[in-house]
Amino acid sequence: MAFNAATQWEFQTTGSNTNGGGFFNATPGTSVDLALANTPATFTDLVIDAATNTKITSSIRPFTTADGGNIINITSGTGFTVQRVQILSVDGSAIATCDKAVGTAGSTGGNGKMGGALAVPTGALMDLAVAGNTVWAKQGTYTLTGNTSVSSAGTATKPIWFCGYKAMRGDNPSGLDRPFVIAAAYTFNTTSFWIAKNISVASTESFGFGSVYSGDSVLINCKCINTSTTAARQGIYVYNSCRIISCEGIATNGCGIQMGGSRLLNSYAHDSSTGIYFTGSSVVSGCISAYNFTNAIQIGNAAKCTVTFNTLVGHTTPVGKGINLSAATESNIITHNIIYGFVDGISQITAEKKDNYYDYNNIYNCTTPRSNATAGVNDITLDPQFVSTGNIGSNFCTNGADWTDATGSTPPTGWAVKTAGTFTITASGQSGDYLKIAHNGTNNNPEISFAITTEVGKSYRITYYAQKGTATNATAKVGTTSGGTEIGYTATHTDTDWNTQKSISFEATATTTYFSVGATTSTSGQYAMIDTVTIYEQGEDFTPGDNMKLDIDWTKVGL
Amino acid sequence: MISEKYSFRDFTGQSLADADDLTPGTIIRGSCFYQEGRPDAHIFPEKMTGVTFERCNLDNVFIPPGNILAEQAGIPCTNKQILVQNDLRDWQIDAEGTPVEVMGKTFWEAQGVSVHCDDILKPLQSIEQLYQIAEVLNGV
Repeated sequence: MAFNAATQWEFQTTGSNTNGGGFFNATPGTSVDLALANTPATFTDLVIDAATNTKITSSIRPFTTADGGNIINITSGTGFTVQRVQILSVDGSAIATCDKAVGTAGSTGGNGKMGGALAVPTGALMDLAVAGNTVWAKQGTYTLTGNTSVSSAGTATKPIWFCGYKAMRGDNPSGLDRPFVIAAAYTFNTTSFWIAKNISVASTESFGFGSVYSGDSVLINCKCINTSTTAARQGIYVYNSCRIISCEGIATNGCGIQMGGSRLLNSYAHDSSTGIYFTGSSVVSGCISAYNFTNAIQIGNAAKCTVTFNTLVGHTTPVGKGINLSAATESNIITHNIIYGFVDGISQITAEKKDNYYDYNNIYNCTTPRSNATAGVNDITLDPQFVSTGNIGSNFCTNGADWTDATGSTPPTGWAVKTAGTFTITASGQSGDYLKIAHNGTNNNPEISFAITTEVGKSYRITYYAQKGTATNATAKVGTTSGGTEIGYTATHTDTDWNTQKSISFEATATTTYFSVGATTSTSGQYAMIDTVTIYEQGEDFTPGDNMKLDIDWTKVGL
Repeated sequence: MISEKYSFRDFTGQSLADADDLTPGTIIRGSCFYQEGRPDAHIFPEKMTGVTFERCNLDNVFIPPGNILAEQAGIPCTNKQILVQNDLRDWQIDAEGTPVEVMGKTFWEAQGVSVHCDDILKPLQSIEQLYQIAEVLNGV
């Protein structure tokens, strides 16, 4: 017999995967959810009734009517089946009746734990949930040490909810208040008719977080950042017929959000290779896709898509493509989008399909506004005048272009030496002079850092140019210590020209953050080259469901 | 004693080689130290001893001798060596760097995608190729 459809499972970082972990309100007003308790009830003397193998008793910890609905994890015992059972009821003789056979009738000395939260959402534990269940995860950091690929599906009428909460179930946290799952190289996928809500994930795995090969799943207020440098690794990835609502996706070298034929609403994809990529008939509406270096939106092998009311932001210096129809896609509706700062505003790989409909788009600051796509009669070209995103205030790095006072062992003013070297202001930089960081004949890997006064939780963006010069490479790091990488950014550059601007966006975790640059070399005189460092606080970080933080005055853009 | 500073935190890609507070008796619980693309990365002080890691992700991390990887709450630590291969997937590798098993093997098998080491000798190195495969798998 399956667990009751109203069962609620509980994950807390202080829990244990050997606990019972689940409960349903078998007797309202009497049953008590022991899965929320820090300490489970522990049994070492369980006895299975001699006649009915679903009935159990314990002398050490007698069952009470309040136990009805709780899950017991049977961990061992001769004649006992290692499994989780659910107490359906407890009679006046402290005999608990379970949902399934506990083992062989008459067995004694069974061990188990009733209640107590679970600790880490492994695949085996997530698969305990059945249609209609809710899996709760309390705020905290959950590190996976194996794959979590869920196979137990919900149904259309009884989906399985996977919900994060901060302090009280149902308090709908956002930002850092959501439970944070570190998947690293492990799979973290739900399946059909699961609804994941208020979950934040960090991954380096191919598909990030989502429902990769199962349709009909939903993600609400979820975030996934995929920090892998391997190409084509995604932040959020879902299959066909899914819905992604008020979510955030980031993928260092892949797609922030990728989906089959699905619907994506009010979401935010940024700082990725491609912000939003989809195949199959999809709807993308009310989203922001910003600061991606290849595409803001890419439409692959898909048709009959609707892309409307989105804000797509490239860069002040145009970069990549705004909407890239990279396959011979047709019957699409692309309207009411703001497309700003791209080399190609709207780009279609083949000559325009006559039934693709483009109109009411505002394409501004794009080198080629349209490629293989004709302008809609109501298209406009007006500066959207974004006011609350992008760089705010002054450049923190006041000496990242002129490199004033750098000479010999003295670093530029404002910079501190992490590892001694020789510093030289040299002509022919990316703009004006550049800084040469060289091995001084004594210390390997010379490095300097610039301290930034930051506010915890605020977003910052660093841009710079680097060449390896004669060193093995140029290095750049962002951390909370000089030369540190605590923020998670460490880069080695082997560029031999100034053509590519580097950038990193990060959220501060300390009141001082350090940007460090250096040269990888153990040979005297070898040097790396750095230039045009800018460090700006960024506009308010977008939070899922709050997709209009760009403060667009829609009347100015005629929409 | 469980270290609040180092427990339940994300140290992915970070080095703690200069840490001076990873002293004997320290217990680190539930943190991730994964080092993508850097098998056997030396991220802890070489002389670190007596530190117990509980249910931590230590994949691609070199653990100096004299430290303990322990199971806690029914959850083990993981200390695999992992490297991306020609097929752009992560593979667990052996001490010689030879791929032995694709990460998420069961998942890939279920999708009908090869999990045989021989197949990764055929390079698959463009984003477009991977997208094409993804589209085929997505049935579009």
